[in-house]
Amino acid sequence: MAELWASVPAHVILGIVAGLPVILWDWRIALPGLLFVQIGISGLVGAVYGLSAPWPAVHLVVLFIAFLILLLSILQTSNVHVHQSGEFSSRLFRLLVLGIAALLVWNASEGIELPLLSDASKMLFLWLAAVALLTLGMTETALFGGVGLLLWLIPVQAFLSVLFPLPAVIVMLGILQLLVALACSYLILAEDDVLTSYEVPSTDPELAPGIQRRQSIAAGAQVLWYGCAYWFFSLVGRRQKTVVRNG
Amino acid sequence: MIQFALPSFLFSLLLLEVLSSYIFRRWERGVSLINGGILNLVAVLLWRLPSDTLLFSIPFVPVTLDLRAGIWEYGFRFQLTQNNEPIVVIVLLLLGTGMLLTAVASQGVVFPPSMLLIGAGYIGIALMVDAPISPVFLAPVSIAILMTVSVFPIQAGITGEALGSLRAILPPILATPFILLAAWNMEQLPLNPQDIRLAAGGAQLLGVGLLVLLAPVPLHSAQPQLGESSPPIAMALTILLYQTLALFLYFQATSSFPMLFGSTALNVWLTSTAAITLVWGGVAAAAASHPGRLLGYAMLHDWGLILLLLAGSDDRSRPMVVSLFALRILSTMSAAAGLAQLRQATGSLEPDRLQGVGARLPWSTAAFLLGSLGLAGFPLTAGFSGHWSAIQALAEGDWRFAAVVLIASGSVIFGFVRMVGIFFGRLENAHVPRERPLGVVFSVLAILLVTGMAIVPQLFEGPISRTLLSFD
Repeated sequence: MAELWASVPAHVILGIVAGLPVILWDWRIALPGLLFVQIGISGLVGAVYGLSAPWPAVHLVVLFIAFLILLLSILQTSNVHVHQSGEFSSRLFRLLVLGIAALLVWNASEGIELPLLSDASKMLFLWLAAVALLTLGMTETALFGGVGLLLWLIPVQAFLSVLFPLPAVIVMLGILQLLVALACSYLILAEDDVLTSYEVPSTDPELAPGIQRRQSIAAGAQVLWYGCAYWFFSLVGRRQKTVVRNG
Repeated sequence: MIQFALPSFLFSLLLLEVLSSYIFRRWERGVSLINGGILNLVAVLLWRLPSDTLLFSIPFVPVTLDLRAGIWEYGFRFQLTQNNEPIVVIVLLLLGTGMLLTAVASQGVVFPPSMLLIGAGYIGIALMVDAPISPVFLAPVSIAILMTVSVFPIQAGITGEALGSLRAILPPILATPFILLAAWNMEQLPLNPQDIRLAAGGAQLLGVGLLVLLAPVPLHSAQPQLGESSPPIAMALTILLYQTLALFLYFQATSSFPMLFGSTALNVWLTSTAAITLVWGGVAAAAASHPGRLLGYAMLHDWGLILLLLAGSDDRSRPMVVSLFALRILSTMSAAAGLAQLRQATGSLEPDRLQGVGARLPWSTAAFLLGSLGLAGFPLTAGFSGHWSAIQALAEGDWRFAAVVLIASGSVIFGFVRMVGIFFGRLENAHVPRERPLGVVFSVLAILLVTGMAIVPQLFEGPISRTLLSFD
């Protein structure tokens, strides 16, 4: 298995899949492409670089949730910029830019050191970062902003997990990926004037004011009560620990 | 008598404020006033307590605070030290002021709880003294997380334009891998002390990471875009909180790794990008007709000057950086307070709707103009003393830099002169309401602070010296 993931063809396939969304500029290609790249990178860091058992799977699950979050917003929006993939000439232009980026990465990779990685993996990670930057540079929408950021974070998460196999680092980067997906998902909806003109957020008190207000106060009081009880319980426990450690 | 470690108290207080501002969101004005008042009170008390005080009893409550005790969670240690105390106070003051201003100009239902949550996160970063990796290296990931959450208050349900919010989160996310890779190099140094490539590589990566985090041109675009599309107080708080922590991190990194300047060309990178930033801020401000965008460009110009001084990296430039940044906070909050009230009264910041509002909303207009002009160093505003000393210092090194700063500042001032023409022209919209009494109080306070700092700038000397001591 390790041989398969370490092979150059596997690296090339991952690189091509990562570059496809830039050329085709379509969410139907971009989101599955992200998932495919994450599967490949998880396999690579797990099988070749020995990242211990739950973490490659955690990376995959985090990206799958991010994929679902983005998908939910895409399915709701009527924004034409999300649903169209661009003219042939613009695709040709992006292909040209991608080609120039590939040459630059090829040239620059010798001078860049990514510790613990083989040459092929180093090239793949640099290529993924370059494609992410290109996507971020060319996008005018939150959707492809999200795709670019997630594509940037996939190699970052994998590489840093190899360098620092610490739960704190992996969890923080995972939280960042999920929040990026949530924020971009929110921005996809915010970009849609039509949707936001008739959709009222369920937390808005202007929606059925009387009922909403009573429900809001009752639910809020419940949350406050449970929250305070838990907070006090953990605070007392922490205070005892603190006293012992300070002592 | 219950005894709490200070970090526990601060996090509990902020959590209670988050919950109260969400649950009682229908009474936004009252809740924001109370929450803002409490935060400002805590900040002032924390600042005024002598540095050797260990315990503090809260009046009328059987609670004692252990000011120097730390708390440990999941390998992270949070503790108030002399080093991070000024940052905690600045964040608390910014949050408190933001909440108070929300009482006169609502920034959206989601703003108070989400901004308090984000503020709690920034305080957490400042208080972090120990972590699985050195806190200096782990801070950018935390800042990236907080900036991503900031998307919600700065977008505030506004439809259409979303790129500003997206671009605001780019610098910390892009900086994260560089700084963490630098951490790995630094951690390997004791194992391979002979390997000079490790030290040089680590310093290079840290330098690039810090530069990206400070977001000069070409990573600057969030500031003017947010100025145009976001609620003014949300925009000002998001940018100022981020920049406070970015500067803190920069000072910590340069103090902990002095080789940063020897092994890299960080000074050159900073000087060149900062010069472009301040010039671009000035040129674009001269052409901007939207007051929010104009404020964004004025902030960008001021930020460029701060970065230019930061590149000096000597003993003289650091006090100037801290002083300019303190005056920047004052000017920006004053401008945001005025602009938020103008937006509240007219419903939009489009120039055609602001025609002649200066006659109807004089105090808010004055607070906005005086605050914004302070960012360009206009005489008789808060920023004047800071800009003047900065220009003098730059002229001593190379007069051409001073000339560039003067010309760029002149451009920003030209932009505001055009804005004065719009504000004090013929009133187009007769339905614009007059200012509310509370709004007038806040605007007058802002004007007094801004002009007071221009007349008696030495009032800031004490706090700035104490802040500087904490960075050394």
